[in-house]
Amino acid sequence: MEATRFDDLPYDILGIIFTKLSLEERLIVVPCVCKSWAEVIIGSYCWQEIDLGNWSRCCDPDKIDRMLKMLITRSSGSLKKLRVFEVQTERTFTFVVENARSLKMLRLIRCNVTDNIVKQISPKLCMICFLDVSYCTKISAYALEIIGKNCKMLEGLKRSLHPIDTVGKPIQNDEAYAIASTMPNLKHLGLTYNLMNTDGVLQIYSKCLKLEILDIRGCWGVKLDKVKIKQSFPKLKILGPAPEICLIYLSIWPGKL
Amino acid sequence: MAKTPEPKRTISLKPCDGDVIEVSPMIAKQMQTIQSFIEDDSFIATTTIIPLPNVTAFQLSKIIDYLNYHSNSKAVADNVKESTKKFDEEFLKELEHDKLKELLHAANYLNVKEVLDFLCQAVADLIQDKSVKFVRKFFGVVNDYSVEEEEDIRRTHAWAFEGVEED
Repeated sequence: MEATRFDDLPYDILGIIFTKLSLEERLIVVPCVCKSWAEVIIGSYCWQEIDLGNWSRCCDPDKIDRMLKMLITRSSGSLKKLRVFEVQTERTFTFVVENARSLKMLRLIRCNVTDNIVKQISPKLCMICFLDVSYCTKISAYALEIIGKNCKMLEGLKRSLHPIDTVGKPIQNDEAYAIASTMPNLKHLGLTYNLMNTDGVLQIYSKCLKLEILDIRGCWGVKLDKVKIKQSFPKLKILGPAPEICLIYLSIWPGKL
Repeated sequence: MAKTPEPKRTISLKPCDGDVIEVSPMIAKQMQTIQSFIEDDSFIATTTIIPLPNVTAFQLSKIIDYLNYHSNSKAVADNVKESTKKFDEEFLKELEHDKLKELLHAANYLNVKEVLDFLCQAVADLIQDKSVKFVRKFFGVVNDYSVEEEEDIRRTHAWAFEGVEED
């Protein structure tokens, strides 16, 4: 065992270290170490970024609601990034947006958001830069349009779908059109397994002129002449429609947050 | 203040135990502590030597190495990401725990966010998934709870992880 002692680290450094630990570590191990650690960990500073990722993936929805309420209260308005799966209750979405006015990145994955909920919450999300609503199957192009109209600072949107959700369905460009007409500042857009065709993509990259990365893996209705696009939009990197891996893209939407 | 200062070449930093190290203003700027000094008086900053009584030559050159490498590899290509990862791994491999801790203090003193963040992640990786006992020992922290108090704290959020794996 190490002889080195880290006990004279300033609290703000401890705070940074704590924010990099997993949820269970932060809630159980850290406060059990000693009284001063327990005090540091309840500080809002330690909860500016909340990642309920793996924990919420297969957790009871009531517990997710309870956890979000507790941690967002701790963050006391300073929450910047949130990633959570499987939120089911409408009032939890409302609670999140009402208590997190500095939210920059919100990732609601496989959540029970509807067009109606989006309509209610998006006016309060005007500061958001990155939004992820992947596998939220209850929202439509209408929700995306509302988001685009309200969230003028949006630079990244991720709306991945699962092939099972789209198999056998006809081509639909309404989501692509909604994005193209309301989100001119997008730099990163992820639309895997979207039902659009070539026309939808053309609309997107002719309107979203700041786009750097467009992920259309699994959008089988899309046929692109990539060489031609490269000439007209040299900065744009398109992933797909065929499967391919891009590390830069992964670092924009990293696993942890 | 109205006049723009003469184009500066390098900033001279003097660690507590070694020779002066010259850094480009671009690198110096990332050290908030130095940056404030440059802002106060950029002429003096480029002509005099800035003493760093709390930082050793080893720590300073490690921090500069890190900043140099990372500012040169800001590009976005995938292969760059790969080599950056390798650099980071090598960087940590050379650091024993006490060196890591000292470097954390130095990075904190110089207020270099990028390095601080990287080192904190490294410490977090060392204690992730470890027991309370291990963490106490690792940090040299003395347990100031009674058995009952500690059990109470442990119970407070246990509801969240019940059914996963306790203890």
